[in-house]
Amino acid sequence: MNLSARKRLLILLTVALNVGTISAPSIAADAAPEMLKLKLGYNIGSLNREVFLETAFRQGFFKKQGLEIEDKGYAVGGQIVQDLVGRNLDVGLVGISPSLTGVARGGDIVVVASQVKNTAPLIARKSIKSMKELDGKKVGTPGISSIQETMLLYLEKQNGFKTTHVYGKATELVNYMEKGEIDAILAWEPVASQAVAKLDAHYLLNTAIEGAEASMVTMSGKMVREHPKEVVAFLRATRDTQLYIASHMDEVIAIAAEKTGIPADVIKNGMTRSKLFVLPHAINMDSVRLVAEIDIASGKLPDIKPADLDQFLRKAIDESFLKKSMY
Amino acid sequence: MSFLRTGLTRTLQIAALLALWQVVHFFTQSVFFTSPTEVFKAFWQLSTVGDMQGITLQKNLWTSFFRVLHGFLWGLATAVPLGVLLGLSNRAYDWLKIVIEPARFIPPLAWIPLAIIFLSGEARYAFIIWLGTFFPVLITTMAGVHSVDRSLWEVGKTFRGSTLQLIWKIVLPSSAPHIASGARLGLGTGWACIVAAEMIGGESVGIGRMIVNYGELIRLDAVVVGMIVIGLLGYALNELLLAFERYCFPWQQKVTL
Repeated sequence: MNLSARKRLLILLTVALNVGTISAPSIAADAAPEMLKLKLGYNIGSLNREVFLETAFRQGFFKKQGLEIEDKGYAVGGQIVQDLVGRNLDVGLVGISPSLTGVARGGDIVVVASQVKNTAPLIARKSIKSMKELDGKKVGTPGISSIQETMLLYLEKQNGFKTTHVYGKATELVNYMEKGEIDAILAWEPVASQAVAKLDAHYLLNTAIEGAEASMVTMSGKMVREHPKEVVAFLRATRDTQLYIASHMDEVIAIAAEKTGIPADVIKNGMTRSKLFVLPHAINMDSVRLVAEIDIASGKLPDIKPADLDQFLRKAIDESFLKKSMY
Repeated sequence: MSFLRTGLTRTLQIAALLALWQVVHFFTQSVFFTSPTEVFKAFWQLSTVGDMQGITLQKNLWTSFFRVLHGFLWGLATAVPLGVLLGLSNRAYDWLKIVIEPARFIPPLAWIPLAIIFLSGEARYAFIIWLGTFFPVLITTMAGVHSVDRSLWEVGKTFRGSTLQLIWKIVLPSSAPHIASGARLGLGTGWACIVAAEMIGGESVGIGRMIVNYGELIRLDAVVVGMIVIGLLGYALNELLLAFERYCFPWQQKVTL
């Protein structure tokens, strides 16, 4: 390569790198001066985007609180926690089980409120009449880190059966069941209501434990330390969203049906069975403790000793922001 | 002596790498930067006790190995004949070019949604690995056929050899080194695809699934075990194929990759 060719190559590379830098401005530069832009992760196919966030965006609840949300979809909660721990997200609408895993592994994250309770329905082929009949069968869950996986472990222990756990994206579990690869599903709604509507399947349980925590508002430690007021503001926005959903159920379901292509009655069935997005944000600590105990026993939280559980939960959960958001 | 010297050098290289890794771990002081000792402990745990469902590392590894082998052999069985055909016939290549050329740029990952809908069980994994193997073997086979000495072909024809005889006696032996190199490349891609293929879901066993599971649990020590095992097995298979190439095609000593 002669000198001029090298120079040309160097100029081209410099231009290309600069174009990349210019066309990808920082997030802070994009936001309006008074708005704090937050990166938020949610589970795809859980209605968090199509019902919860869509309502909040349409009604301007986050903007009203001075927050601008950049939302990102993930296949499973474990990946949301990975990105929270890696400081690529500020907020995660993510299961209690993966959140506890993140804290136990030393991740700088804090659970600040409940977001969704229940949403751990168990559905099976109609030929399977009871949970006992699941013994030796294949049950699909959204992933090893998910709260639904923890709930399956709980049901197995409580009811004395053992299944082969099969992992897949929640949205694809219906497909696996349709092809006979799995016999039952324990995933979030509306995956269960879709499976029941589409396949020869029925609900064995509306949810594994009534009122148990499922999805939490989990934040990065940096966010909590550096923007405590905005944490409170975020929780106010989520409460406003929740109140709006509770009073405009048919409207939000119609929007979700249009967005997802899932029939409105199927969405309504799933949302009603799990009481999605309408239960209080106060954390059901009994269920959190139970989840932690199951996760310790199963090896999902290998670093936590049962004797240290209280200390661990105090580190993982901080409800002070939620209390402030109520005044 | 040379064998001993190579063995000693390799051991020292690995020891130096492990020492450097341990030193970096000591200075980073990050809970997420796992150390060699933690990785070894995880390796021992996974090998003797197994993962949270009691599936051992060996079972995960063998399951993935057979999936790779399955997809790889299908890749060879389909790519070599098609590569010979397209290498010999410009007309056939012109006909299929519009399909083959764009298709080879589609990453195997992009096929996953279709694989989930149309395939079940092991066939799903085999298909993704087949995709990773097929195109490297196809392209190198075509290149091998193009490199066949034209005069040999003409001599064969002069002796009234049928097309099949010419392929069997001239084309395949001449292009075999290329095919072998393509197979080696394809096997490498096949291994690279296994994690992606097992991420599809629908199964609970496999080294890729194990990596995904422990990744979700932020158990990076176990993730690194899976990565190292995939790397070592891929390396061993590559060396095996290289030895095979050296044995069968000794004139191709330049092959060292």
